[in-house]
Amino acid sequence: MVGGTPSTKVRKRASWMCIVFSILFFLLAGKILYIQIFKFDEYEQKVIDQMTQETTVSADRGNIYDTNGIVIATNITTYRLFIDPAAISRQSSADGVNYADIIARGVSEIDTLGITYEDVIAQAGYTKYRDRTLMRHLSEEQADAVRAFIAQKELDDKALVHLQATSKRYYPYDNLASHVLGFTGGDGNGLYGLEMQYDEILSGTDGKYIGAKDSFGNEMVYDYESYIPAIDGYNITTTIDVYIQAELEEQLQTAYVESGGKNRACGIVLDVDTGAVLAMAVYPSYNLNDPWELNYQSAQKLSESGFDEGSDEYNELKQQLLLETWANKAVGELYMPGSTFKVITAAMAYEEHIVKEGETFSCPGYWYPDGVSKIHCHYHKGHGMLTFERGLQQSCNPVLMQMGLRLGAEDYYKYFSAFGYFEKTGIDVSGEAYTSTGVTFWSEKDFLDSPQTTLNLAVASFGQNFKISPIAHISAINAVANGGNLVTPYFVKEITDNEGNVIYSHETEVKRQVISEATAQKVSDILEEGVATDGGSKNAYVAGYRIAAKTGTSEKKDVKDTEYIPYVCSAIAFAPAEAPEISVLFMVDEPTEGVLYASVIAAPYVANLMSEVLPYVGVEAEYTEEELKNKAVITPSLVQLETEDAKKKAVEWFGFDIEVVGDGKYVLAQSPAGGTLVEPGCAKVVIYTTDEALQERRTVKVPNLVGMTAVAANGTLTNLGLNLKISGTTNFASGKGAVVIEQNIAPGETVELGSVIELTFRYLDDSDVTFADTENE
Amino acid sequence: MKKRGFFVRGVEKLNNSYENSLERRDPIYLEKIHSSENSEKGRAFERGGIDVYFLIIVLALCIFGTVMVYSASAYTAEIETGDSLYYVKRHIIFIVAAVSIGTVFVIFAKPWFWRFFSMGAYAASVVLLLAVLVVGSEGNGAQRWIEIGPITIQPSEIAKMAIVMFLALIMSKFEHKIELSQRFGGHFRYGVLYPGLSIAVICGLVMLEKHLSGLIIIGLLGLTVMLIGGTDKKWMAMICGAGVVAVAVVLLFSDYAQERVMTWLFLENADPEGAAWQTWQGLYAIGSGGVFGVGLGNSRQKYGYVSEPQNDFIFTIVCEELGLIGAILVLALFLLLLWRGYRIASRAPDKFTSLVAYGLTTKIVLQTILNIAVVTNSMPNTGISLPFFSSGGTALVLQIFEMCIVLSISRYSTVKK
Repeated sequence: MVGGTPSTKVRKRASWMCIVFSILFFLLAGKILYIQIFKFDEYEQKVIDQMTQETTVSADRGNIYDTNGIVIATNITTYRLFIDPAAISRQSSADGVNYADIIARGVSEIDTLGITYEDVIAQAGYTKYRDRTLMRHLSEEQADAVRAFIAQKELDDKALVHLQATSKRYYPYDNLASHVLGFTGGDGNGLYGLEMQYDEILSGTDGKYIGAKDSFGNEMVYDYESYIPAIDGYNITTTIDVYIQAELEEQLQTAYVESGGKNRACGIVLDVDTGAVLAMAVYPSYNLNDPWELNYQSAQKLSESGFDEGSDEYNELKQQLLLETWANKAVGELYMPGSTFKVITAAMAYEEHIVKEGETFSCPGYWYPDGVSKIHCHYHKGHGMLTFERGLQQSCNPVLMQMGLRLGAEDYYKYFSAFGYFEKTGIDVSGEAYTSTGVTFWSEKDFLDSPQTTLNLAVASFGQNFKISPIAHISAINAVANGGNLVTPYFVKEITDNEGNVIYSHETEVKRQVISEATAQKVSDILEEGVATDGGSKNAYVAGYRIAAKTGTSEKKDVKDTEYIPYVCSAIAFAPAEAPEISVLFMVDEPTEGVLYASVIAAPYVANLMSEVLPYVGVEAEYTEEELKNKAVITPSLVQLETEDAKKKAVEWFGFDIEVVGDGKYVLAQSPAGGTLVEPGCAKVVIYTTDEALQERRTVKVPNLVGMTAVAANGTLTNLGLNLKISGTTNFASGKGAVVIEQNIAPGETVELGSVIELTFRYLDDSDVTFADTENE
Repeated sequence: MKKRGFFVRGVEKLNNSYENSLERRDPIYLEKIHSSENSEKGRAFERGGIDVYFLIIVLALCIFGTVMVYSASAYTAEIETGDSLYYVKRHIIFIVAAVSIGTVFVIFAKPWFWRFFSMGAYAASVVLLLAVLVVGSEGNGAQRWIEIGPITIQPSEIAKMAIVMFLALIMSKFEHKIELSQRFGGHFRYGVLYPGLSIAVICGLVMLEKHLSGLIIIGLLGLTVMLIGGTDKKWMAMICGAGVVAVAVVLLFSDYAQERVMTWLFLENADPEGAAWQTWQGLYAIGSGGVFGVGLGNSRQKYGYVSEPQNDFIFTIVCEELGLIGAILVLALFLLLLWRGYRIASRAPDKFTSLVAYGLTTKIVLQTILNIAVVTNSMPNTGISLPFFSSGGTALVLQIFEMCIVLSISRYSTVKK
């Protein structure tokens, strides 16, 4: 029998099922209740976060200008390449064409991009998304290549591949002033130098646009849509002068490379009255447009280390080298000033009037400041009896030590402090180092009141055994140069907004007057005289300019384990001495090749720098009679004159010797050519008057002149019938020791009679070494 | 009596009674339906009107569902097809079609008809499930659809209905033999083996098309009908145990299933842009609705965040737009459907119709529970749609048609005399 009503058993079991299902319903209701009540805040926030799209409207970072308005840091446009996978997949199915393949092939075929076919296909696989990045930081050329590809007819107007313009920091001069400017990181924040110090001012305030999007990235209508415009960063005008900066970097490089420097070189050029930093450089520098790339020297060190590329040691060393490369040595590192500090000691002495005019001291080549410790003069034979002025010029240690003891520890300490060595100069760049007692200077107790006081004071008075920062030292020297005022050095003279409104303008900040104008003038006169005559810094001489300079070579007693004796060769200078305009500090750390004296390694380059910069800043050369006598003369132009007239002109008017070849009536050719500069005195010109004579011009072989004194070189050249031109130090006539270190035409080469040989002279005698080699007897 | 074959006597009798008698005089209606074991007095069996409450519940669900489909699908439809009404139009067409066909059956179909129907449905399922392996069209990496002209049929959906009805037939056909306890030919053969094999055939075929959620639902429905139909508890426990083992085996060998389970267990660790995207977005939608919801049509998650918001995850949009109140309303409607469906089943004229009504009601309720469990992350994510709400297709048509079957059965309820 089929059929029948549901039995009790069926209904009973069904009832159980019903109960089970009902319970499940209630459990689910509970779960929903839990989610909707207890997770409400969290999930609602998530929903809002993921749908609201905050587009940053980036503010343009401000430009950095040099003092004359030349752009030294700005922004350029780069491009981000991205595809729209959602559109690609929709278009592909609509047209029955595999656009992902077309795009991948096209993009991977542009060699300059380096994107592979697989990269593109992988990104195109995110078909829900509207924006997948293929590559960032495309240059204009790369972007053009992509645009050309997009413009082909298959892809034109389909909006599948996009380029988005973004801004990137750009430094037009690459390496120039790299340590001053610093650079920005990937997020556009300044990481070093002015870029970091003025980050907030340069970066401006990003604006934003808040809208809503669906999960595919499409814009949606949204109630809370809002737009906040960006405020562009301010522009900064610095005190850096691109021309002076380039010149300083050039001289640093030459000095560093020629002296085989191991621990970088640095230099500072200040405006004497305002403290404006006209140039500040560290060599080796680095390319600001590619700061993460090691410079040549660092890369060299890294490859010499022998570590495997990619190993931990390798990466660590690389990181360390990068940090070292980026560090601004001129501000952030301390060094022993050596004899250059004698300028300050002298200023203290004159300010306290403890030395009489013309007072003489004796230098037997050593001295016992405390009666026990023997301290040598750099000139071991001893300077004999000499005045304080001459002691300063000759950098005589015993004289300076006696002056230091006369001054007393307390006064020395007072002035040291007054010159600002114990504080930051306040220059507007981060990471400034300064001298602190007990660490880089003796502790107050050791220096003022201990059995060692006398010895310490004696050593301190010639600048040994304590460390100061280059910027602090040049600030102090600057005070001597400008009549006693300690001014705060600075980089930024003006901040302007995009409309040119001035937001901030620097005013010279005089911290205090440290010494009197008279003292300052006195010290600079002594220094200038030393340079112009036979002082230790005579290599800094520039004809036509009164330059006050002092060199210093100190041994780095705190550096151990080097294969060479580590020296610091430095020089300070300011000019013109009668009314200083600029002051310069120049320092080569750990030179290893050649004569390791600052007078050789630093002073000549200071002279080169001065000779270029002084005319540039508007200081006109004023030659003394003797300088005028020594000044190079211009060879007269004699060609096409009658022979007799030519003779007369050359000999009587110009004071040249003349040699006539042939017996023609007219001058057909001459050597050297008209207008060539030669040294006066024994200048000679050869003229040819007949065609035959022209056919057989006379020639001579150039001799080796390196190591000869000026007199010997001149004699040799005159005998051969050649002319001489001096470059570099030109006060050689007044000294005994200047010798030829370089000639422009190599020995053995054949040149025409009358040719000009250009020679570079330099004093190579020691004059300023301040090793504190105390010998206890 | 000479044995003349399967069902022949019953068919003859019912046919005769239909042809020869007025409805009121049909013996089946005059028979005292409650036998001694079921001896409630004063109850009579008669053919009457449909169960209006049940109809109202189903219509309410259909209308509610249509409204939600429109709200949830408009944006996606606009993006995908350019016509924001695309999904809701389809949905309405399917409802209208299903209701039209269903109405015919409600009016004309007699209880015996469904016995033939169940055999036909079972046979058709097997054929279609075999056919889909050969001519099926692919979608989402699986081969589950057969296209006939403009209509797409999903055989596994038909199988869900067929298994309920066919098992109901077996369980009632062998009603008395199931009670017997002989070694073979009794309870084991008729209460376990036959229904078990019926389920196994369908499940095997569904497994071939890798339709995991379909497999689970068919299995659970089959077990439910067997349980209600009278299979011994001991056997049920063993079959359930076998089911658990089977699930474990599937988990062991299917990376796909493993990934789903791991995503469910460790949602925090899963890739929020990948495997866990749908689950998280669903939870965000539910949670951001709060108690009162963001208002009908104001969902923010339907803008591509909840993937295919008109399909499996439509309940999350309901929760977001109508809040806890809307969610409870939906649950309440399904709970009412459960109660009313079971009430109809308990008053059905015979065991077969009773089991059919139980089974089909259970099918709707079970899918609802599984769907909501998935979207609330109470179980791993499998593709189970929400009856009456999830947009269009074979499933919707069948759900409505199944409700029509229940309504048709409700006309033959036992009533108080």
